[in-house]
Amino acid sequence: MIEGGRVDRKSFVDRARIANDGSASMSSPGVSIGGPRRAWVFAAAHLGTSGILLALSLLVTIVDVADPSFLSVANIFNMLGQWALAGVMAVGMTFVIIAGGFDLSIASGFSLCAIVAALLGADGYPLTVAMLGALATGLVVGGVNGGLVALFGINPFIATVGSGFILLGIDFLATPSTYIRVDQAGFDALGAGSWLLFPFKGMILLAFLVLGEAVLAKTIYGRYVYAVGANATVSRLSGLPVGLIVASTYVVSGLCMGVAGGLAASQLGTAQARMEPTIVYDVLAAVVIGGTSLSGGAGAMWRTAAGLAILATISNGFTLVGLNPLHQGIVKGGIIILALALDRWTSLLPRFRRD
Amino acid sequence: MTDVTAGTAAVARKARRDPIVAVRRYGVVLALLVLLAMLGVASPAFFRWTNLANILSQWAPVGIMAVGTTYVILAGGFDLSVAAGFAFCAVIAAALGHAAMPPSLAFLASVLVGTVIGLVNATLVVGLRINPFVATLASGFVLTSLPYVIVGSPFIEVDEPGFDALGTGAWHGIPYTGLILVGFLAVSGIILAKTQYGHLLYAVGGNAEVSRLVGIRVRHVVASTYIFSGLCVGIAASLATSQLSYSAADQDPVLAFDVIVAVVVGGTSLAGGIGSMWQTAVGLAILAILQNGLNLLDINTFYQYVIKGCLIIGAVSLDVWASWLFRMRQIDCAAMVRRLVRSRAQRASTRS
Repeated sequence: MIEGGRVDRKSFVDRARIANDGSASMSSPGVSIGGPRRAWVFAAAHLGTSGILLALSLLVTIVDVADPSFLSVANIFNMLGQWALAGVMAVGMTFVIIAGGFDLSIASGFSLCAIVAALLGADGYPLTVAMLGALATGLVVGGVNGGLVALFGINPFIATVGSGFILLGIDFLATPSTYIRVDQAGFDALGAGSWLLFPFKGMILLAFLVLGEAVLAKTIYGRYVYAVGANATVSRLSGLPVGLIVASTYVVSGLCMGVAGGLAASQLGTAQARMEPTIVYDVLAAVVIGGTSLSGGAGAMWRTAAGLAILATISNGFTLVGLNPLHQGIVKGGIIILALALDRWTSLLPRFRRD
Repeated sequence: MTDVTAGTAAVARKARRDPIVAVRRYGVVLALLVLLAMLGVASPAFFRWTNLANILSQWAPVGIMAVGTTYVILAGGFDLSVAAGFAFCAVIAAALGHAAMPPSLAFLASVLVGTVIGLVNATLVVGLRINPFVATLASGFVLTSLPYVIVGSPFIEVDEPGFDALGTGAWHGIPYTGLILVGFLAVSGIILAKTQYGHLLYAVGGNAEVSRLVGIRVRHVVASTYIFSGLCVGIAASLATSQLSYSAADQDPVLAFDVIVAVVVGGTSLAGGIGSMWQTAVGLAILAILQNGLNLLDINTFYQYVIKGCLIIGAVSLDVWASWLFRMRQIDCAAMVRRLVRSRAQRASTRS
């Protein structure tokens, strides 16, 4: 009986995913339409799923032609390290967004985790304890956010803006002077250290992306996250603990926040309130450029990785080519709009063909 | 179409008499009154005219942007580019003022630029059908960089005489900025509540699909809200630049959040279709008075963030609680109990 129930639930989840993923639903017109038309639809469908990879390779080619040192191992490691903080938080954000939620508290939460780590470090505790402190703080923040959204049923946007304000206040209150400095030798081992040019931060980012992809794509929990994001009501009716799953994604986001905050404190040796107030925009942009839908239920971790790669390529390319890095917002915004317009267009195209 | 709008108005009138809906709508007013009473007792300086005028002019830019955002949110959209657009329009006004252009022309240009920003947002959301949240996030990115490209630096001081007349001037002790804010709230509130256009906004925000089927030009209505929001951003930027004689390029997301918070604390629903302008005014008043009061009482600014956060969560919890009560009441409890008793009796009889 239990076995049967589980199989049913799985097939339901698959169906929910297919219904929400434009690429998967393309198979039906593909079957009904034959010949050259079919090839046309097929091409359009694949442009829809991998258009983002196409854009990424185009961008990489342009930057690499402009400056061949772009694709050197050292530069790639460098970029991975630079984008580690935003990237790790983007992994958590991907979980939250696929489950149909939203987390705007990450900027102040990230600062709080860094402050906790720096306070512990300044008190003479070793790096591991400081990292654990940051992790625990992140988990608590995620738990509170999850509770507000799942238990009280508050709109996730408002709940996390509210908790973000509260966290910002706590950040300031927890910082005795303008910033906290850690004078401990070896405190920067994790944040600034590297192994054969490969920064530990970059390794952590890669590990998080791979782990996130594995959890989302291969585990039952990952399927539940998609199902809840695709249709919460149907998920509840088919017996999923919707509240628990939604709350858990905020805890994952909190965990990522903790890791990023700990890394930042370790790297800089200082922490303060409002460390990176605009990092939330970068994190959101990474998830969204990849093509993960803000309405939930559709997306993937590899998409977030591609989004991060695009952002990293733009910002690195700007410095390599010698353009003013302050101008990159225009390209960033333009690429988001292009990517989404392309996504929209490719998802409309097969429908027109069918008619 | 007049039938439809008359129908929605009738439903709204009926719903207004409901006690739970009343708590949901007027709870914020109660909160504001309590806040006013507390501050009046705690700090005699609060009710002094100069203090009130000060609050009005300080919150005029945020308030005017909140007016535009109310329109956008009521129609079911979202505008995250407000902070970046504000900064950009301020740079335009300050750059033109710095170049010794007449202030009125500088402000007009800022308003025009704001309207164009709104037009672009409308095109992205309505024309390209991009999710409003992402579309305005992207246009925000572009707007953050534009000052560096066009002017070179977003930090411009204006020394021209007369440039600060609009922002710092007053009529019989009432600052012009405050007058403009009140006028804006009143006019846009009347448009929302009394005109057909306002009713169309509610219809579209309440249910876009049904509105389309009924024959409302949903896309035009939605587009108009973004353009209006852009216009408000341009006006707000003009006032702020004139107040400070400086392009206050505050691209901090906190400003954007302040605008949204004012709208939401007032009780306007982020899902669209529910809310009104007076509620935004009350939300604004709560934010402004809270901050002013905490300053007067010499409370650490850092606590203000905590209190603001609690306020937001509290206001929305109230909303959630009220709608939960509303739903519970629609369930027929007596019938439920009857059914339960019957099924128990049935089970007992089959067992025996």
